[in-house]
Amino acid sequence: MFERDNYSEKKYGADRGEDEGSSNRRSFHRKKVCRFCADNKIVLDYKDVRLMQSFMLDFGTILPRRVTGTCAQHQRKLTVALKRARQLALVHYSESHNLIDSRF
Amino acid sequence: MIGYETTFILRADSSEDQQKALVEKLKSIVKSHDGEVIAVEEWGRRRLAYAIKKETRGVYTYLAFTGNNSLVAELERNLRINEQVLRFLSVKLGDDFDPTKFKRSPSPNVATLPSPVVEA
Repeated sequence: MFERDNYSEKKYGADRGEDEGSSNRRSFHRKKVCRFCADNKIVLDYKDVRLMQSFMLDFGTILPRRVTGTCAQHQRKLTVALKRARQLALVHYSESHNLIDSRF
Repeated sequence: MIGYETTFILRADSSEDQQKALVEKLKSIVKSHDGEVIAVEEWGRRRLAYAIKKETRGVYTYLAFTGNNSLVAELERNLRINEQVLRFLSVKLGDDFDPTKFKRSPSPNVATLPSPVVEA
């Protein structure tokens, strides 16, 4: 969705033949802040299913830092926590696991 | 003493007695290794994110304790023997763990776990 907004903005600038189209586009970029650095009340815990799910796609992919804005230190801890949550069947490994699940 | 936490999943059809018996057994193992049980939490029966051994539901139990590595090995050996156990996970909480500083993590409460299974 965000991508699409950027695109239309670019097109608009191009239609008007303005050079600052690209700089306008850049101004739309919101600086992402690591959630764990911003709020030290958040406990990074593999048992917190809601928190784990917020850093992965519905079908199980762990979101990269460039998407979530998590800092390097916290991303390292986060990936470990996510993999622990997967081991305990709190979150998915992949979508194909769900399909096996739904057959029964 | 080193702090550890172990979570294990039992088959959904295992009885409450089986679960209680296993918890008691694990507790006695912790005591026999000069460890201390800090917390036992029952998360209850809930849907697994994916099927384990063709089971789609499981009974979760969480155990926090202090001890040493041989204690963890003995606990895991017992969990492996028990056929009702689908899966377990042990995590080190920290060296020189102070049991009085153990904070019940905000997570095992019902709100943050996957939707609990209503008994049929």
